[in-house]
Amino acid sequence: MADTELIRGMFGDLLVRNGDLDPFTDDERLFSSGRLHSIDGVEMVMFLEEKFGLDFAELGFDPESIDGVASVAALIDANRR
Amino acid sequence: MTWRDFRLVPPIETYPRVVALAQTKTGKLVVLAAFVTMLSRISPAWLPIGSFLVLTTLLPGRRRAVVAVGTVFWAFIWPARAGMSANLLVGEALVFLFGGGLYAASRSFAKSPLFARPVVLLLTLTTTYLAIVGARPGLFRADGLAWAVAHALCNTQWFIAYALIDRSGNPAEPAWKQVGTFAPFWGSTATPFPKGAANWRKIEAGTPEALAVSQLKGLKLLLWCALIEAAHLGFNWVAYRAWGIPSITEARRAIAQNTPFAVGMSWASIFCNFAERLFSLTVFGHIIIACCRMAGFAALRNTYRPLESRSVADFWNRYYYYYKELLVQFFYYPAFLRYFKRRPRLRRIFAVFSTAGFGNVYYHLFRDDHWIQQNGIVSAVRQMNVYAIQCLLLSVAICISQAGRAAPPARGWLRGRLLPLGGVVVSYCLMFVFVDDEFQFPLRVHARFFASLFGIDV
Repeated sequence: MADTELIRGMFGDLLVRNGDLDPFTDDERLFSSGRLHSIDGVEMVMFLEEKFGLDFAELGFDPESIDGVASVAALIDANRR
Repeated sequence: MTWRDFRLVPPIETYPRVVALAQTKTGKLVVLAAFVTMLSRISPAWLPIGSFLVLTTLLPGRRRAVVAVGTVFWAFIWPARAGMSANLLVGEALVFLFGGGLYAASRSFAKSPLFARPVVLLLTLTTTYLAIVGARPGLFRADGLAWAVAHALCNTQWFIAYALIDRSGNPAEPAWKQVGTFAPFWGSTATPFPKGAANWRKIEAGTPEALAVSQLKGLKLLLWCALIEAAHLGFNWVAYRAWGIPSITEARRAIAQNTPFAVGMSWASIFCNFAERLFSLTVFGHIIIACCRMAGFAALRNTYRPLESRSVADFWNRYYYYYKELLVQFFYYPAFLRYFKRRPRLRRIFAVFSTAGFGNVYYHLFRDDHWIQQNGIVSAVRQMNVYAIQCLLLSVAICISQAGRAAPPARGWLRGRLLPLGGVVVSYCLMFVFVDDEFQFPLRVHARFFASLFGIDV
């Protein structure tokens, strides 16, 4: 739960930096829909590396896996096991 | 409803009754007829495109198969009818087979070290091939098969690259479906619109309602495109005819002949050049994306509200979205994920220069392969020096604008919109000084023109 809050907060920050103050849901695809851009993806990658120790150079990077809150939560979950 | 909600082209895809109507036979016919009628005014290929749009509308369950047939038509039959040489057609066929084969092999032998980084393998093969056939001018006949393959490879390599990164896609696609994305009938450049099959799967309409919405958005976009083109024509008339502002080529020529225009006129010229590029790319991208949406793929626009940009990086994203996505996918992320991981600032700077600098030059070198054919690979690389300056400036500007992203954007019309936009427009006007697609002038002319904008005579 705490992770989801953290992820939500990060997505919220990225949207605000783009001047996008509209609400979003956990299942929403924020990159595919164009609300966030690939440059924002870099911020998300750094966030996941720092907070959750993910290494995308090893995991392989799939932009789909960071498309929204739910997919990021699933990615973290899958790499904890 | 306030004035802010006013739309010149109404958002018809949000009106439930219109969406419901567009799902009926009559509605589909009306939407298609309206679209194809408008298309016939702007595209000479309206009949084949229109025919494929009818097929994708009637056969939604076989949409990808129809698009694959469209690719065969667009890549082979249409050019053959237009008189394209047999060598070019064979070259194209060989490259399509190569792309499909590379995709299939990279899936089958995914654990082989050879296919560990299939895109790197592809780009290495392309570069090596072009370096060999372009080793010196005249080494291979310009109209021979070797150059036909080179030309097709340059035009198709990014389509193949998107297929390769989709090799572990879920569900895995057969090679023919991937090859079917290499020349979509709605059009593309060397940059795939709208990216590769992985993206197509995400945006493909899965229900009659989603198809109706996608088609209504396509219709709306084409209408919007017609309005922008009208504004473009009006702009050209006012700027170049009524006010007599020189085109950027005329301004450069004047510098080359030591008869420069006044500083104010030179600035007017670069502003007009910026506007001209913006109009042209917007119209061009809108036509492609409108057709793509009509085919049932709800793709994002290529150019989206560029004048709402708040930074150089933001503008790059809004101006030529699919090109920027290509560079980010194949240069930015690979560089960012692998190098300088312990030094965040250097990591970003390196990734930006790999993308907007190196990737940008690399893309254009191979996109304009006729220069390699004409002058040889070494001269073609040298000739990129002018464009490389633009890439360098763009990289620096993106690094600066990224550094300023940490803080939320300023609010208000003046500080939040107008001043940032002014900075963005001036930055791009200056950067475009070094974009000379026809390589008409040497670097010193561009440098003198740039300096002359600040009253410096060198």
